[in-house]
Amino acid sequence: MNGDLREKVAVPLLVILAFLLQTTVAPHLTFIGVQPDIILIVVIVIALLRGPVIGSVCGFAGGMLKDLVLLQTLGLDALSKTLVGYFAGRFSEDGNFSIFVGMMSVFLGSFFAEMIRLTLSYLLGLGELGFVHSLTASILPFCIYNTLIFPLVFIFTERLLGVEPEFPGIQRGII
Amino acid sequence: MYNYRRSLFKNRLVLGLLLLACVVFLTVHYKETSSGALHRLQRDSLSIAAPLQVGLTKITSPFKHSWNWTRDIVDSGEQYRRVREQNTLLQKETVDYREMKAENQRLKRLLELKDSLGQNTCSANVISQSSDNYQSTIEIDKGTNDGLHEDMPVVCPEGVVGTVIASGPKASKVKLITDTKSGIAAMIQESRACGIASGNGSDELDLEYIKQNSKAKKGDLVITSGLGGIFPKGLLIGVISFAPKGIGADLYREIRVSPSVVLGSLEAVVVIKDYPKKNYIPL
Repeated sequence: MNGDLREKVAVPLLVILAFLLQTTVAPHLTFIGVQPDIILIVVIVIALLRGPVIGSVCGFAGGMLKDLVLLQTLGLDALSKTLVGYFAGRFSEDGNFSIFVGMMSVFLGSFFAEMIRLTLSYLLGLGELGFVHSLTASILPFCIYNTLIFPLVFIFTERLLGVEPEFPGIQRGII
Repeated sequence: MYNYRRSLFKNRLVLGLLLLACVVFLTVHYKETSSGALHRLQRDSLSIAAPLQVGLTKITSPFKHSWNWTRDIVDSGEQYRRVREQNTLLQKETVDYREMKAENQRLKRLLELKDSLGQNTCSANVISQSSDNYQSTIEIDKGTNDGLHEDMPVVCPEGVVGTVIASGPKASKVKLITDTKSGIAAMIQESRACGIASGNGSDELDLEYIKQNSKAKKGDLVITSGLGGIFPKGLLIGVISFAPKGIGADLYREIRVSPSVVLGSLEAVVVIKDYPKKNYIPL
């Protein structure tokens, strides 16, 4: 398959697949009270591999899909994932893209995504739990869980995209 | 440099548009009612995504089962500990419940006994059993402060227990009917033959002074005769367990009585305060 065409098909496919996995498999992967955000991890991986524009578009699409189907406040998840996708893409332009960088991106991305969601929820009057409780009981375990799952998602995404990273300065890391 | 700036502008423009779209969606969705266009869109998209989700659920179910199985194994230690704790707690609660139930039944029977006796009585708890091998006694938690004094008869719903032999202000000592120094005026209920049921140091009583020509057989009930004035008449002492035919020139029959009260497991008793009657004859 032509590389450009493959990418045009693979990226939306990845987002849809991530969304389906998020709604069907992730609820069964609950560990210490949190479940991973597969869409967010995929968005960060795509952003790291393909840059801020594709990252933010994927974040928007993935978040919007989740908001739509899970009957959440429309735009809430999309906003946080768009921002994380954009900055993850920017992050990969500036440094070496090793597994450590990838894991750091997922950890920080997960943290910021949750913080944005938490802040917006409070602004809209949707917040139920206290900030400190949310931070210790759900956000930190959530970030760690996402970070641990990242290598698996990265291998899969990279294989599906099937192309080398094209940004200048990016080097292949351990994976 | 120009290309980089152009690229950066393009990136920021895309981000700005996407964020603007998000904010618009957020605002409209937040403001509109549940019958609004965006809410309707959400409900429609749910029905579109449902078949895909069902399909993927079927495909991934073996992996889910494997994950759940693994997680169960990891959690099994903790679960086992929790179940054991619950089990211990439940066992304790069961013991408490049984204890309360038994106490309730015991008190109920004591109350019935007190009513049936129609005498001035005082119920008491057994606080200790005899502490040596030479006397059969118990201690109860009522004494002279409750009007108890020596020679008062002590009974329980199953029958005669003994008599008070010493009383302090708050406790009394009771000599059981099986004590070697104990003797109660008794009567075989069926034949009405009178004698004395005395302790012999074992778990049984000797029914003495029953003449050879008196009828007595195994299984006959032995009750208090009321003679002597210490015990009221008609209280159950026990059942004849051994009553051979008379041998040779013996004047009296050899009869043994098994007490109706299990004296080793007494918990509560009733002391009849109207007895002994004045001018009673101590045995």
